Amino acid sequence: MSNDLVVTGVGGQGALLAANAVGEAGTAAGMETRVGEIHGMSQRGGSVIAHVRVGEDVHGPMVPTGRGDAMIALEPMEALRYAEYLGPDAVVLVNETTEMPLPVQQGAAEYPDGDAIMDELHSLGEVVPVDAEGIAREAGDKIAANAVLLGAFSARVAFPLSAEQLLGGVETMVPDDAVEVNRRAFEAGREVIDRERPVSIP
Amino acid sequence: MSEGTQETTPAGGDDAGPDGEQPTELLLGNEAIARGALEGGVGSVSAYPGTPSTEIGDTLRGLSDDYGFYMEYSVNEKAALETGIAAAYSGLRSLVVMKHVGLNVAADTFMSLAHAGVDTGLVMVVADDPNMWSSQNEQDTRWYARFARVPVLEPTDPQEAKEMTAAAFELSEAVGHPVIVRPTTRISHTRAPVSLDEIPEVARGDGYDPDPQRHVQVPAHGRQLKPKLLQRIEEVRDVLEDSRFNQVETIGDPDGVGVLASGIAYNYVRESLDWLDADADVFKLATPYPLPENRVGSFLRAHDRVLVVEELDPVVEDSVRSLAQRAGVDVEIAGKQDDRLPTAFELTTDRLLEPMASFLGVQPPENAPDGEDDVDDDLLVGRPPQFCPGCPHEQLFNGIAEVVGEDAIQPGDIGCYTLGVNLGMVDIQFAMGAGTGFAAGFAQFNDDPVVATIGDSTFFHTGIPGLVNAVYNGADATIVVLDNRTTAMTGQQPNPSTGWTADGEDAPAVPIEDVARAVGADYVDVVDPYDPDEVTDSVEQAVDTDGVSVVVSRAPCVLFRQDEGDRIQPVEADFGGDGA
Repeated sequence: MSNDLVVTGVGGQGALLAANAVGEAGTAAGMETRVGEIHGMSQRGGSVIAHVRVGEDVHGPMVPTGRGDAMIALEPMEALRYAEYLGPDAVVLVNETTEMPLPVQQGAAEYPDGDAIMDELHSLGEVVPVDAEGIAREAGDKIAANAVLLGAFSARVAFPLSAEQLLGGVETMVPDDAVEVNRRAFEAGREVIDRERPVSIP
Repeated sequence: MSEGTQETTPAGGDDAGPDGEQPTELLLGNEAIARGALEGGVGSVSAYPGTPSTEIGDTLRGLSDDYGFYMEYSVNEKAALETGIAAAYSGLRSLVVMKHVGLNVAADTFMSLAHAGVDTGLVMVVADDPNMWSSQNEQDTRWYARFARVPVLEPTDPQEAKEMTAAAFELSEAVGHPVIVRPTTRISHTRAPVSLDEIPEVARGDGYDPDPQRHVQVPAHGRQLKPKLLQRIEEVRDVLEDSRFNQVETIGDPDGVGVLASGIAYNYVRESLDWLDADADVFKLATPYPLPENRVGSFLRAHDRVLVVEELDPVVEDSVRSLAQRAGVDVEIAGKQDDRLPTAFELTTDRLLEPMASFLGVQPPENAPDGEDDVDDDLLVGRPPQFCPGCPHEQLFNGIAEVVGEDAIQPGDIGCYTLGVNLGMVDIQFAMGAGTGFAAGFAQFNDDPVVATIGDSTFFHTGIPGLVNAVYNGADATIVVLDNRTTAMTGQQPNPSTGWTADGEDAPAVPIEDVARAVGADYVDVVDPYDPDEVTDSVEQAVDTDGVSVVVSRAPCVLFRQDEGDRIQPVEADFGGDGA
């Protein structure tokens, strides 16, 4: 049985970094861990998905569609793009800030209505919108939005890794001089979730 | 979190467990392969970058000084293999790294290598890209293994990829034959905990001892070598009968049902069985060629029905069907040849679930993936790959468009500038270096101007022969070389335009305009792509010139690291301090 998380976003937002932070935490905890990524064409500005699987009996690097326990989305439309991975009881932690795709910047397309995206997401699972970029900015650097969402994830989603373990993964992944900002961002993300983390651990 | 240098712990230091157990690090599959090469005592690494193989070279290039092995990015995969053979023949364990299509380029030398064999270990890592995440086609490298009669090992996960790479050197030396390790994208680009073993000191070779009977492949020698090759691959088969990477496990109460899974497919088989709550004996096959026929034969005999699961082509399945027929085993074999399993694109648990359920005679679960995401497509806008802001390629394309409009025939090539297709600036693109060959060819049969685009790394890789062909056979064509001084798309590896080597040492850059002049191009110019007038003037002259014109558009990639201290990117998987 594996615990399955997908992390989505736009190239340059640090989605892979967030996924690897969870992977580092799983590895440090001695769990079977897989982080599946795609390199190459997924460059800056492109759509990004990373699969994270942690548990005792993990087979394969990819979360099967319809089986994800949670999603961390750094961008609303990127949450929707990979909604097929969500399981029936999945929780989606989504940054509220939108990133305009090239066709939108060029005027060839319009960014979909934000409320419509959120409505659609709500129809697919439990959605927790987080002003991750704003909170990260207050913590010292808006690029730490991924740490905010990981903090919120640690407080909201039943996953076999503690907040301390997840924060440890974040600290392993970021440069020394960014540890403090990311720690603050992570804690601020935890505070967004105003209820206790569920205790059930598979 | 900010992007930046990843903090790492020195492997083998404080990661060691309290009971002195092996240290474990979260490693990308390609980093695990690099680590396996170090643990296997690699003395020479030669590579041409290409997704999904690139991080193997990128990991090793920063470590060559620490561990004392030779490292080069070769101009192409054939040159890489030739360097690798020379290293092995000089007594150094040799690793040669490429993506699947790279073996097409190296195939000529590769076929002869199989005939000659080796004494010191030679391991080729050839990374396949099912689903074509970053490739022009999907090829199954296991066919090449069978074609040349070279053994191929297929890892299941990063841990096994590491162990296999190290073991491949031992196998290579035990049987006197090169060995291929075939990761696919989901091995190369998956991170998993990998336990680290010691890194031995690099064994220095004694130098080359010529062996003309083996190494000079004239017909008389070839006739001697062929029977030996046939004999040698049977010896390999015998050795692989005992491979610890091949394992059979029993899930539940199989009742005569077996599944034979090759490489990464094993993961999807196990996950499907869990999900379906079904039973089977599972043969995890790590050696698809040559097939260990005694062991597989026993598995066939022990079962009434066997499903063969593998990614891409039915390479193992065909061998298994052939074996069953020759051995007279009465067993039902299922797989791709009876249309149960897909041959195109990568395998996933999603795609395997229903065929597995059908083969096993169980119901797929109610929440099985149906391939529909139920999301309103109107709410999704694509994020296509794009030129980076300020990219010199985009400027250059604008200049060409201004001169030739839509009239020109425009062969392209492989690199970031293939994105020119979105600007209507690439009409044909098949393979590395093919753009110059197409320019020479189309110019013979068309009156429209021919303007080809090719990058610097690709020009050196395989673009030069097409240029010479155009000059010598009198083509009227313009070849624009987009010289951004680095192999940009794969992550800024140096090439002969860069001025330094894989390990950051100064090297004399090869000016592309000098090459063009030397082979006799009729018009040669160097332009600054950020100067629109300079570009249009030069392209206009080039198109007007009868014969072959070469315009070198020179400006460094906007991501190019030019400072000496930045020549080697930070190594993510820092193995420093361990071993030896």
